[in-house]
Amino acid sequence: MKCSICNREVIDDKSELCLYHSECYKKIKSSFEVWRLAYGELDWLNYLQRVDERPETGIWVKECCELLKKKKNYENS
Amino acid sequence: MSLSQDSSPYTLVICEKPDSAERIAEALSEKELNITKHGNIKIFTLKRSGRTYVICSASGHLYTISDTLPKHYVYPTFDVEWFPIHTMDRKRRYLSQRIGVIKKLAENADVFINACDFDQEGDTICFNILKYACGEKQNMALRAKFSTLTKTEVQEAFRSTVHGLGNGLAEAGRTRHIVDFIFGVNLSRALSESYHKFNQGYRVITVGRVQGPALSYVVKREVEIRTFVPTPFWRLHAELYKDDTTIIADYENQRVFKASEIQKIKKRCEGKKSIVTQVTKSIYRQFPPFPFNTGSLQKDAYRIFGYLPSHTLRIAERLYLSALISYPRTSSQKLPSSIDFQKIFTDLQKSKTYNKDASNILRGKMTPNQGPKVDPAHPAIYPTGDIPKRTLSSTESNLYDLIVRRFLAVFGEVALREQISVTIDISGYLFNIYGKQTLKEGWIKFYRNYTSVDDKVIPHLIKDEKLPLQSIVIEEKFTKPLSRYNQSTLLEKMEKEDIGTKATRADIIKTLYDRGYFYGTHIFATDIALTVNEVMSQYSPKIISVDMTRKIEKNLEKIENNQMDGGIVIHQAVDQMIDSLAAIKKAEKEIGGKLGQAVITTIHKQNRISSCPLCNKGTLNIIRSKKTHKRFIGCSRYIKGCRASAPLPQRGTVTITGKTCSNCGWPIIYLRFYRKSWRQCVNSTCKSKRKVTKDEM
Repeated sequence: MKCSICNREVIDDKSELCLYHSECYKKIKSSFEVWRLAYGELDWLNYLQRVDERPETGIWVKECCELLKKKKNYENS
Repeated sequence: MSLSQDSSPYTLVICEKPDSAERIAEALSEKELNITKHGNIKIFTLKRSGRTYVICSASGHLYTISDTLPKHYVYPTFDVEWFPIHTMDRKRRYLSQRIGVIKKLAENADVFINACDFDQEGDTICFNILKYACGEKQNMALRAKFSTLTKTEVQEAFRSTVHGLGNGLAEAGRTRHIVDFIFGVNLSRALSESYHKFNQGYRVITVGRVQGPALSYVVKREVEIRTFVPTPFWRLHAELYKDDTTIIADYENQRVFKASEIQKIKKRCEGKKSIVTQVTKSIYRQFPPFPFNTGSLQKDAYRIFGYLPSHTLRIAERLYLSALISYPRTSSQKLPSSIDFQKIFTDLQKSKTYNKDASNILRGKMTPNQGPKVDPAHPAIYPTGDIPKRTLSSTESNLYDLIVRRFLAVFGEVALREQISVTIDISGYLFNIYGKQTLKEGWIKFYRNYTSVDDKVIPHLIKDEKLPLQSIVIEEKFTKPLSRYNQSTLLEKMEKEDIGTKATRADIIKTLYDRGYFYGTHIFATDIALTVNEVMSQYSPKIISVDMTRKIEKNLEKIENNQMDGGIVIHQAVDQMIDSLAAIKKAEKEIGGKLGQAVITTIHKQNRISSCPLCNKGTLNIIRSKKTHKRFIGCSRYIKGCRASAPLPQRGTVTITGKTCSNCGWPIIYLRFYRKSWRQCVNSTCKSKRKVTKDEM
């Protein structure tokens, strides 16, 4: 099975991401707590938007953010 | 000297390069120097103490390693032999004449002197010539050891020649070549074949014993950067007044990770009194730098002039051949007392540029600040003091000045600097101001142009002094990923991890660029690099591990010191390769698929110029027409109706600048064709390209 973002192989059958993008996903999830602590109130979508906009953010993280934003918007709609 | 003529036996001197042969001949000739030409090859004949010396030269390596298999894509291959380079590489067939000349000259020689550079490569070059061109004379040759090509040192080296080829240097050098061939050729063939079998076309995909770890450093950094998630933090500054000048004091806690907390501190400090609570001054000594070795010279040349490490080594080599500096391929940071420093400084005094500084040193103690690294073959890099006999190019003169000034600085006095630290209390919160100033320049005055002295003068402040507070400023910041390697920092990393040699590190980095693994001044790894690294870590993790490379380097050192046999190292290499190659062969299909995908992605990225300025949906790409095979720029949404296209020059390399034209908004590209380079807007109808009519003038 291929990664939902790039064309690399997924890490296992349960995952939809490759090694690099699943690493990004883990980092995004763990950093959310740091961001929420820093700004007080911050929802998931707003957080993803802010991370995506930062120039320091890694390119694979940005790709992952895009996917997560799309998913969240889809869920909301 | 005629090659066919019968003459009395003579001493044949073998040098590494034609330039060094000429210089050695000039240094040894007592009266007249006879120069004969055989095609483009110069032979020098001279009389010295009643004996005839014939001086000839190689042109770097004349022999190379290759396998004995007729097909050069089969792996594994472990049976290797030395062959004349011209039989392996058609581009270098001109070397056959040089081997022919040396063969002829060897017929009448009864004494052979190895005058190649005193290191592994130099001894390997001479060993092969003595063995294959001179007819197994490697064991009877004498060795002339020198670190500079000055007349006195060359003459001394020939007065005190020693038997044998510089300990185990030649064996270590030959073993290195064989081991590198076994690793490099087998792995590269395995990867290239995997790609070839499961993709269209052929692409050389290489990886080697030193290339592997170097590649893995960059890839590891690339992954860290691409997967980096920044986190916010805040900094606080207090702007204070003192004698009509503003002083910035930083809040003691450099990083505050809560917005609410920083706002709270700001609120509490605003409008409050600020009092100086502590003023500390400390004087510290700044020692002179260590003498240059290859790595530190390459690092400084990159930092100061922007010269790439491989370029620096080439320039340094030219300066060495002109007898202006000592041998530049050295690890040593020591200048032994056997070097006549007095003479070098006296000679430098004759130059207008260094007269004053050299005189200054001559009046002092003349003790260099030695570094910790040692190289038994050569001392650290130093100027010979000789005045250039030819006009130096700008790059040569820059590097020469850097080497001379570093040499002067090494002998300079210790510099004294003062650090001032002031603590200010604002409503119970502490803020700091730091200042630095030079009290005694010492060595810095010789090296001022090449060192950054970060002096920061702050106003005179005393304890309990009250300073008016102008404002409190909050700065929002974000953590940053580690910076990318550049050629200099990668070379430094390789040196620190002890992989490769001082002579080969720069070339290995260049090869990684040439193979399409790296691009950019700040090194970016391509998808091919990521995949090759991924494949290697999965199927052959030992090869890209630093430990293995380091172990081989240690063993080569042992061979050099006659403590180990070269055969053992070669056998170990073969054993390691057998397992790795079997694993790659088994997973050929998977590897081929991965590499194919990476090559497509890399090419796609390289050809992508920018988003389309016409439809704003597609991307402008460099496309090659299937009909005419000519290249041009076109939009990816051509099929959907976007007709954005632009012509491209058919020759030269195109680099994407990422900038857009201020007139039309189309991308600007950078073109390079031989030595000519220019920037241009890709839009052929752009105003910037329109000729100005007479009326408009």
